[in-house]
Amino acid sequence: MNNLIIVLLVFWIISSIWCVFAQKTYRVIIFFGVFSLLTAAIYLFLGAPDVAMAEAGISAFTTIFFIVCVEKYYSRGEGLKHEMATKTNKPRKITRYIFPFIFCVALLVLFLNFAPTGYVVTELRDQYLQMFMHDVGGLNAVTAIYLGYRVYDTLFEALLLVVAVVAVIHLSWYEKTAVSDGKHSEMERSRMAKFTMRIICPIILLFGTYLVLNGHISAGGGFLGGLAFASFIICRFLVLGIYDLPIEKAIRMEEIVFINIVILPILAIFTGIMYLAWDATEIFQNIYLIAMSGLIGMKVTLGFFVLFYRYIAIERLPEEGEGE
Amino acid sequence: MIYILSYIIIGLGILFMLFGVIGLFQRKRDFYYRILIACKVDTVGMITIGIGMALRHGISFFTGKIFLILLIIVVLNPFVAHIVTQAAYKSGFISVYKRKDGDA
Repeated sequence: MNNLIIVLLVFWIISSIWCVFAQKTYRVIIFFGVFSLLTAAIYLFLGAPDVAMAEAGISAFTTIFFIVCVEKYYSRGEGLKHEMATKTNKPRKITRYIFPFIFCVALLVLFLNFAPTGYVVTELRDQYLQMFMHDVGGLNAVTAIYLGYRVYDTLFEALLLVVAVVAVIHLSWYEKTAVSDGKHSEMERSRMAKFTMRIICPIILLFGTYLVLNGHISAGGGFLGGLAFASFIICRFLVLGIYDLPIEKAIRMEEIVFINIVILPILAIFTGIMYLAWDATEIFQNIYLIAMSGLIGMKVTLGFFVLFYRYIAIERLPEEGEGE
Repeated sequence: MIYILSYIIIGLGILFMLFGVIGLFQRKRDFYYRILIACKVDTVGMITIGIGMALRHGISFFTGKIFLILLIIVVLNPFVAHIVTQAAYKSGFISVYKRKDGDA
């Protein structure tokens, strides 16, 4: 075990304890971001760059998302001022930190000294690592697992995002689906912001396309590419002030993409493209992998875009007199 | 020879970052000073370390990637600091020093 990982794990534990015992909401969000960042670093050093990139992207996304949501639900900035004004005069009891800290240190010691005794079954792992190029195709074992061996899990994960989007749409307060009251963002008027976005946006698009198309060869995949595309749309939305986005079409298209995500692996399994039923399957395997990456990328893009748009752009507290 | 030079440059970048971290804690806890220091230190240190890594690796595809990352950092890092500072200023955050002058 590398020494750096031990240091990271210690900070990981400390950040998680901070995150649980922080006294203000904003501190919790910031410590949660720190926790996610350390998690990403640990994934990276343990040899899983795909997962590390996904974790970093999601942590960056959720930090902004949580802060804006908390700000909105505290009625437009009053919450922040209130939290900054109130000083927590309670004496910090050290005793309540002691038990979780001891617990976590004990877990760390156990984890570092973990030596499996006896016979360990590595049959399935060896099977996956030796056969994935032959069975599913591509050069990336993670992609081979989540698009080949464990494709049903991926279907249910995609279903989870669909459920989240549907819940947000049906439970949010605001009924309209487009903003046309002339509200503009602060950044829209800044020339510097526009100039920077014109330089950065093509790079983000290129990077997202690279991640989607290259996911089966190196670290990347549909999920990360979708995050990149979603950040591109959100940058355009925030900085260039494009408010009239076709949100209805986005919701409809997300459902269609989800149906395609369900259909494509089933077709691939039953026609025998996967698992090498006939000879010249390599090109079909690559087509299948790239198509699935692209579909998942579209799914994640639309899902995050709809979530962001509903929560941050048009969701607001109902005015008095506007009625329920 | 070029290896030694690259190591010296990487060490210089780490030294810049160290000075910045010391500077963050030396000043009074004022938001505007600290964001200035953090942005400058990040940008300068990352540029220096990136150039050192490019020298260390020689001319290859990897060097191109490093220069792309440096380009993104040079464009984005001051922009982010600018936006955060602007948001703080517009939402009415007053510097510690200015607050004192107002009282006196």
